[in-house]
Amino acid sequence: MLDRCNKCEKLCCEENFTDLSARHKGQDKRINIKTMLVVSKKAIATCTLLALPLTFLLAQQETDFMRSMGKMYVVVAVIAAIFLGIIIYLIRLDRKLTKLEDQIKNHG
Amino acid sequence: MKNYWWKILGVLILLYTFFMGLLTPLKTGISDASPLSLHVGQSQTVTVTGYNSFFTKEKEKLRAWLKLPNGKALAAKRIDVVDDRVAKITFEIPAYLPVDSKVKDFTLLVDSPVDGASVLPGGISVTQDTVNLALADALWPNDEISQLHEKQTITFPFRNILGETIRNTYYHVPLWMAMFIILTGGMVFSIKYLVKNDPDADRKAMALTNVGLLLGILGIITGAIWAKYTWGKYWSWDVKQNMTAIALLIYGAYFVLRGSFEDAEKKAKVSAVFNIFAYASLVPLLYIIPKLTDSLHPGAGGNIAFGSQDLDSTMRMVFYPAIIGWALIGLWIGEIILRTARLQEKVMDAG
Repeated sequence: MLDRCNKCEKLCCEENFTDLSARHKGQDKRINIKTMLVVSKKAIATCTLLALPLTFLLAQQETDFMRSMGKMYVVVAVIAAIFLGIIIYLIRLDRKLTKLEDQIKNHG
Repeated sequence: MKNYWWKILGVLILLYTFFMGLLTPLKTGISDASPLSLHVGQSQTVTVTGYNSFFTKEKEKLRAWLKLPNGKALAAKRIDVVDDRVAKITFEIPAYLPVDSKVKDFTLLVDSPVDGASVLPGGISVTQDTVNLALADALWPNDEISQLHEKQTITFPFRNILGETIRNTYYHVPLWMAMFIILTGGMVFSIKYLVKNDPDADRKAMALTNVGLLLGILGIITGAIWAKYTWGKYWSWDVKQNMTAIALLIYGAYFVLRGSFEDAEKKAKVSAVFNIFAYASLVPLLYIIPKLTDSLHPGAGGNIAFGSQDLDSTMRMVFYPAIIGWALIGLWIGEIILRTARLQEKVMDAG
C-alpha cells in the first residue's frame, strides 16, 4: 500500500502517489502540509488495519507463548495496554492544545 | 514545587507497585499432576509438576498426602525427586475409600521445608468399585498431617488458573477503584455547580469525568485481556462485564450531551444533572447487580469475595497503594484537562 515518491523519497499512499508526483513536475519541491497530513492519516489507518488482524493471528497461533512462564505475558500485555491507552489519550490532548495555540496565535 | 508534590507522590507510588508487583515471586504451587484419576487397591505413582518449586533441596524431607475434605488423609509411600520441578509420588491406596460414593476428589498436598506446603485442591479423583465404609475404616490409615512448613520469603499466592496473572490484581482492579474515586469527585463538582452556579465547578466535573472514562476504558480493555487467558474469551457476557460496559456508555453519553449544546449555561446545567444521575447508576451497576447474580468475577454471587484467600497481606501491600497511585495520576491528567478547558474558555471569550 505504501510507496515512495520517486522525486522526494517521501512515503505516500498509492492514491496520493500520482498526485504527489504531479506536484513535483512544478517548481515547488516542498510537499503541501495538508497533503502530508492526509497521507500520514491514511498511513496510520493502513498500519492499524494491517496490525489488527496480525495481532489476532499472533494471539491465535501463539497461545502457548502467552500461556508460557505461568502466563506472565498476560501481565505484560495488560501493562502494555494501559501504556498505549494513556499514550493515545495524551496524543489527543496534545492535538487539542495545538489547535488552541493556533487559535491564540491567529487572534493575536 | 509546591503544586507538584502529589504528582511526584503518584509517580513514586506507581513505580513502587510496578517493582513490587512484578518482582515478587509467586509462592510454590502444584501446576500439574498426572494421572489425575487413580484406582483403589494398588500402588500408583503420580507425577507432580511444581511451580517455583525446589524439590531437590532437602528432598528427603519432602512429604505428600492425599486428603479428603473430612480431614482423612493418606501419606505417600515414596517420593522420587526427578528435578526441582518434577517429583514422582507413590501412593498405596487401600481397597476401600472412607466415603459413601464410588468416585471421590482428593486434594494433593505436598510439603517441603524449603517451599512450604502446596496443594492441588480437589485435583486427584480416586475410584472404587464398591462402597464399604466398615472395611474402609479398618483399612484406611488416617495419616496425620502435621508440622506443615511455610515459605519464609515474601511471595504472592499461587492459584492454578491464574498463575502469574494474579499480578493483574495490581494493574486491572485499581483502575476501577481509581475510576470510582475520580467519578465521585466529578459528581461532587456537579453538585457544587448546581448549588453555586460556578462555571469552573462544571469544568472540574467535566475534567474528572473525562479521566474517569479513560480509566474505565483502560479497565475494560485490561479486563478483556485477562479474561481471555483465564475464562477463555475476551468477552464472556459476564454480568459484571456487561454492567461496566453499560456504565461506560452512560458516561460516554455525558460527553455526547455536552457536545450537543450551544448555550454554555444550559450545557453546564443539564450535564451536571446528568452526571449526578450517571453516578447514581454507577453504584448499582458496578457493585450491586453483579453481587446478586452469578458472575465469573470474584465477590459476586456464586463466587467468593476478596477474602484472605484471594488477597493476602503481601498483595494488600501492593494493591492499596496502586489504587492511591492511579487516583493521583488520574487527578494529574484531570488537572491538565481542566487547564486546557479554562484556556479554551478564554480563547472563546476573546474570539
